[in-house]
Amino acid sequence: MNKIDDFFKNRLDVNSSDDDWNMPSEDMWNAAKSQFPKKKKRSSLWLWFLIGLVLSGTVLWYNNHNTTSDFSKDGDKHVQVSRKDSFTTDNEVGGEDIFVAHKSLMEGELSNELRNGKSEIGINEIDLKQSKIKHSSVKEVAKVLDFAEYEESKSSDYSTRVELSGSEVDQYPKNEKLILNTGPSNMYQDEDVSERTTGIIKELAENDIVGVNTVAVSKLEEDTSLEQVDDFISIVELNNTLAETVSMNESDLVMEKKYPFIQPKVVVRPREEVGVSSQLFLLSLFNGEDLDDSPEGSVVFEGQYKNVNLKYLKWIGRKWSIATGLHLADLAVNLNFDTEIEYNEDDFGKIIDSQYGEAISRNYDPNSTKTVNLKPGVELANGDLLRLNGEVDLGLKAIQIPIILNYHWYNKRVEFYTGVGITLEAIWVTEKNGDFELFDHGTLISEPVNQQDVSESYVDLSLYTKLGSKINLTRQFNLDLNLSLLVTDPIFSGVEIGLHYRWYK
Amino acid sequence: MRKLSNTIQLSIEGNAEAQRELYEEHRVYWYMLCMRYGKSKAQADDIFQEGLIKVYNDLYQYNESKSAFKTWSSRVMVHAALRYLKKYTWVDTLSLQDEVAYYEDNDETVFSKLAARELTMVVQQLPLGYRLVFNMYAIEGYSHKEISAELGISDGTSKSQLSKARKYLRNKLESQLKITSYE
Repeated sequence: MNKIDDFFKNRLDVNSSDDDWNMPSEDMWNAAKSQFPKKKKRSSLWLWFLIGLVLSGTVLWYNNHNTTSDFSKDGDKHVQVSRKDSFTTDNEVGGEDIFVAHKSLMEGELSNELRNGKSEIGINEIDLKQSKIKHSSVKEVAKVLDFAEYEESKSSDYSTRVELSGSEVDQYPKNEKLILNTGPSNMYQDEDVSERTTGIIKELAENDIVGVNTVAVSKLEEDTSLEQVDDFISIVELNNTLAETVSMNESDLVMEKKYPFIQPKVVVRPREEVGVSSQLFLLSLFNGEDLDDSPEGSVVFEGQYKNVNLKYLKWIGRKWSIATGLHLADLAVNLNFDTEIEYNEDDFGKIIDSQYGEAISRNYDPNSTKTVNLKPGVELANGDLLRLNGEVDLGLKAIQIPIILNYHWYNKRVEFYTGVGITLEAIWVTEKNGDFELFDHGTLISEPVNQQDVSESYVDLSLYTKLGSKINLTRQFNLDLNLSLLVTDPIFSGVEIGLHYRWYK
Repeated sequence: MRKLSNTIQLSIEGNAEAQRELYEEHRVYWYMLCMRYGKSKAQADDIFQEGLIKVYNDLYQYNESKSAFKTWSSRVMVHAALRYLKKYTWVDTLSLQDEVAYYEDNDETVFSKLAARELTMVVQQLPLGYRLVFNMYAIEGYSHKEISAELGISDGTSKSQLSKARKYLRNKLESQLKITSYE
């Protein structure tokens, strides 16, 4: 090294400042630091936490409302109040079972009592397992409910399936079923079962344990005129003001006269739904997403995403709906990639091109070929591992019109659905400030490659799948949370939240 | 004060405090490097900003066992400077092949009165090609082979540019001293 070199090095290669002439301004730090690596966004973690919380809450709520409680007065009387075990209506529609339908009918007559905090269906079945209920009793239930016909089939010891048909149930779809779980038919006879039943129900009612809707099981006397009937089931909807005693008399079989809501006359089913939603985040925009297989490779997105979706759903069956809408999306991303490529003399441009294309995903012209000029003197052999490092600003605006077939399953307040369909997309793409470099063991070996700005638009179809849940906030409004996956255009896949308004039939 | 390796690790993880600490420790050094490569303060500022972003975003590539952080970061800054200059002020100066005799200077004492500020200004006045080669070779310690690879010129051109730069600097310094002594 020359003395003049030393002289300059000694005076210039320093890290001290006397009078701030060599001190960068704070503005530069402030401008630059916004582009430094950020702490892993906790927001997404919080979001997952929130989703977990909602799901946990849902499960807990569900369990809480299905917990089998033991109301045994004494050891040998095993009486269970259960939602599942004794009486289940399979006519669940719109997240509300048949009794909710009754409830809506009842509202005219029992409005105050039913609305008075007690209208929630808390416990609506009582399974008296001691009672020996035969299939013949189901016949009577069918009579009580004015079901003209029924068919029975033992799906288990505890259930009897009743096919509904006839004048009163014309409003049901043909295969609508009411399942009466009647308990094992070979359980012991208990002459006093009706007395016990009465006592239990009284006790439940007095203690506010029985909510509005209760299915009570009682027993006819042996000398009943109903042939071969030991027990019968009467379905009574109680509330605290009404539930004093469940009548045990045959005369009370005509309860529909007194409580017309006993009879399932109306099927409540969602008809249409409109809503607005927005994707909270895109799965592809997780910070630090590592799309590269090599240990040090990374494709880092940093961007902003704005999205609003207008939704329309129309039910085409009890559990099926067709959804469509208008989705508007605006994505601006700064993409920084660092990926490993293997040098191959024959298709070097293509390798660069495919890596570049992979890095920028959809926004890539497959027909383009990047021409890379290596610096003079750089010699590479086939198989050399190089690093491709670059950045590009991407802009993506999209208008999407999806058509999705959804399947819904209901569980009181929470409803789940899954859907599949296609989305017609009009997409506008811009790619600016594209720039990449090749390094061989940390040394720059390429001439500057400044990609020309790209602006293009196209129309496309994408396969669309959804999995989501709706929490019924009120009868009309529900909160929708779903995961949307665009199979063929994954950049728009993400988690979406929305508020929907629903009409019923 | 944290250990440098801890500061770097925390900076990679996005810890703003560590990032600031790293900055405060190296900002003068980095900024002076940028001032030597840019022709003006405005250019130096631009290079500094781009370099700063590059340094922090590439921190994960830094390998403590291979080089000192100062060396590594200065290389990143130099890359940022070259990238900037290629984009905005690249001229054919670099490709000029001009054989000249190497200029040897043995008289350091006459320049000793000049401070870093003046020297930086003198370096800034060098034509681009001279400036790059001189900075890379004399200050950052690149070899001619490395310079030729970085700048896309031959080894001979690199040596020639260096020699011219030295000669230019000497002349500049001498005239600077004369002006100073007349004052």
